Amino acid sequence: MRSPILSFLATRVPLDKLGVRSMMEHKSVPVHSLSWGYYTGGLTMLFLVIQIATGLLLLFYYQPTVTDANLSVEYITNNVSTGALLRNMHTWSSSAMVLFALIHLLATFAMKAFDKPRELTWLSGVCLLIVTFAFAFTGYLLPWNQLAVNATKVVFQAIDAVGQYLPGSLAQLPHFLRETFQGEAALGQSTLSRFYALHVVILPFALTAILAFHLIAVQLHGMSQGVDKPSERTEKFVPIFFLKDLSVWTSAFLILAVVSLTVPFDSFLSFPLLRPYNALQATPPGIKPEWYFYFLYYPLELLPFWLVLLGTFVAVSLLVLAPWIFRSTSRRTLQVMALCASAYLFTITVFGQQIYDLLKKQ
Amino acid sequence: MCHTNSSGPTGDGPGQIGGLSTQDLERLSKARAAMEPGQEVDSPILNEFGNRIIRSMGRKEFLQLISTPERLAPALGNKSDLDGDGIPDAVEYLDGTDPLNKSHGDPLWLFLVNVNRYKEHIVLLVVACALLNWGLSSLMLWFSSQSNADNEEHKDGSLNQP
Amino acid sequence: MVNSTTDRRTFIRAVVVTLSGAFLLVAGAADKIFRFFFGPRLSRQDESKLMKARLQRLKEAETQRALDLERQESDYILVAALSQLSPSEGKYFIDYEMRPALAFLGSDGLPNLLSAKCTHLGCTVGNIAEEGKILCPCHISYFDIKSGQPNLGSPAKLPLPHVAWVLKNRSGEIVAMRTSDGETHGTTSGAALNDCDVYISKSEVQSLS
Repeated sequence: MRSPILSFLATRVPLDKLGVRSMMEHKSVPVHSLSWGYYTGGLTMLFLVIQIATGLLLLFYYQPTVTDANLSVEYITNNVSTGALLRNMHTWSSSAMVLFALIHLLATFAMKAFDKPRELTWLSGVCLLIVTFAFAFTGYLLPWNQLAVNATKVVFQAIDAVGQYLPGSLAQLPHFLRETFQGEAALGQSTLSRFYALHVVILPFALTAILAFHLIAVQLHGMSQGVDKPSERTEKFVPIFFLKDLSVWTSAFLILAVVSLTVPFDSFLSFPLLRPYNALQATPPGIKPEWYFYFLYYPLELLPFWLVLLGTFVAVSLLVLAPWIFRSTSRRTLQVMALCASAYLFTITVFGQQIYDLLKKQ
Repeated sequence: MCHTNSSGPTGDGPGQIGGLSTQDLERLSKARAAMEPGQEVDSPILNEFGNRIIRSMGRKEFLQLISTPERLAPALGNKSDLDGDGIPDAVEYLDGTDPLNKSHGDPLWLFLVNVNRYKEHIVLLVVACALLNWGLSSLMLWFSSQSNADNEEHKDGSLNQP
Repeated sequence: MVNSTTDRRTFIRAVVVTLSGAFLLVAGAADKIFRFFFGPRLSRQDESKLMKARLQRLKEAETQRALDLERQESDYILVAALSQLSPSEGKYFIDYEMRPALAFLGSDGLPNLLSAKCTHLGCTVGNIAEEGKILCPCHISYFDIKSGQPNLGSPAKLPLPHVAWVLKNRSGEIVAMRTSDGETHGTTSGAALNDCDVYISKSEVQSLS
């Protein structure tokens, strides 16, 4: 008799289904009203590939020291051939990658794609999202301008503040954690080196490993049904769906290339924030994290800290335990939940500042 | 926006009055004497944009207009574009964007300027992507139709065998 | 027979189109990619502009490292001459923990030193005091420079801590001092203060921690 752990794994990772032949011949994609959800994962991966390519090229010129980091970024933008385009593409594509990772998560949630036997696929996906956010956070510091360093300081301070809600000697834990990531008493060269190492070596390794598992798992189980009544129409993955995927990728790449060529990402920020970081000068106004952290930033500004902390804890637990918590929930309910979450994310991201002004004036 | 040091001209840091050498101070007093437009101005506490303003309108007119940006901007005129991003300095001054940074300006304006600037590149890129997409798709369809045909032949073969 | 000819034609057309697309992409990007790896060759003027900028950043780093070393080694650090302090415009200095701090002149004619690190999220507070209050620009907290207290309803809840100071005259004798709990000792008025310099002291920090 097989142990329960082994049989759990055998159902979740049926390695016997692995093979080009099964993908070429048997993999099919259901056709229904939520079919667009099947494209979101591929798009996220396209932007990841662009991130890797542009990131590798930027490595040729970027220098991770507090004296030269900002200058080397300026050098890339002003002097290196196509440097401005590459850097701009890296920034735009990072935003696009986070956006599509979030949409992918919401779509798979609404389609109940985490249901048995795909629990591990879902879990690896949640890990990938966290790694993506870690990429975004560590990459943000590298240009070493006023915005980068001060925004990182704000996050570190928020980590410190968690300590007061922990019991006993655990209260010191966030502080130690912060100092470990910071590498020294204040944010400086050690922090930059650590973030650089994380951003260009450690996180890519982690991402590759988890992504490999995620993709193999998707391959093994095929596309999930996505709707309560199994759709009668399906299309073959190769070549029909793959061709559509290819067109979507081409269009996305074209849009990204044109946007990166014509609209500098930096022009959405006020320019004193883009000046090189100087510890001895006053912080310019308008320090804010990147848009994809607004969903956490505005609640932090408006609500008591413990409430936001509790909310984050509940949300992360829900995400991690979704396959077990929502095992018998209908897809209808899940769709409504995903819609509510999207509505919240959209509102707070687009109208966060207006809501903040409205509430703070009263 | 107009000063060398982002904290302004007062202080003893680089580009601030307290940190100037004797030669710098000479340049400063020369710049301060430039009351009329058209004089050569190279003030150590002003950046390129600040010097350009004093050169084009003189200190006298500048001091009259400094408190009213909406009148200062038209007086600067639309000819000068120091960073070459396609947006005149005066407009960048009113928008509050950096007149000395090519990658900083009103996003929509930059978009239109750059689309115009890179239109050949964009057209060629679209054509290349369309060709690649179409070519790869037809190749793939061809391969899959071939392998389907192969499979059917195999099936036929197996059926025909006794 | 007809079928295989059209097949071959489809195949050749697909290959040709793919190759021409790839060629167009490569031809468009080749010189840029080459120049990217070859690296920029700047004009003399641009090169010296870049070198100046590099030197400038090194000097800024040097300033900071020198401050680091000074704080490691000295028992007293000069903030400013007492006569340089103003009640409305603070002078930035760096305290023993390398955090920014501000020096104002208090209404009693003595220095008023307080931390410039906002107690909310650690931004550096501005140095212009309007009606006795300085502003942290990050999330709009006003702090009273006399008490250090933030205004009601601001994101910062804790006051900016005061920094202890020592007044020394030109011959290096301590004329007056204020400890971090706000007690002032020594000569606090009169001509003795005229030529004094304001210092922060290491022993005060050590006795605290």
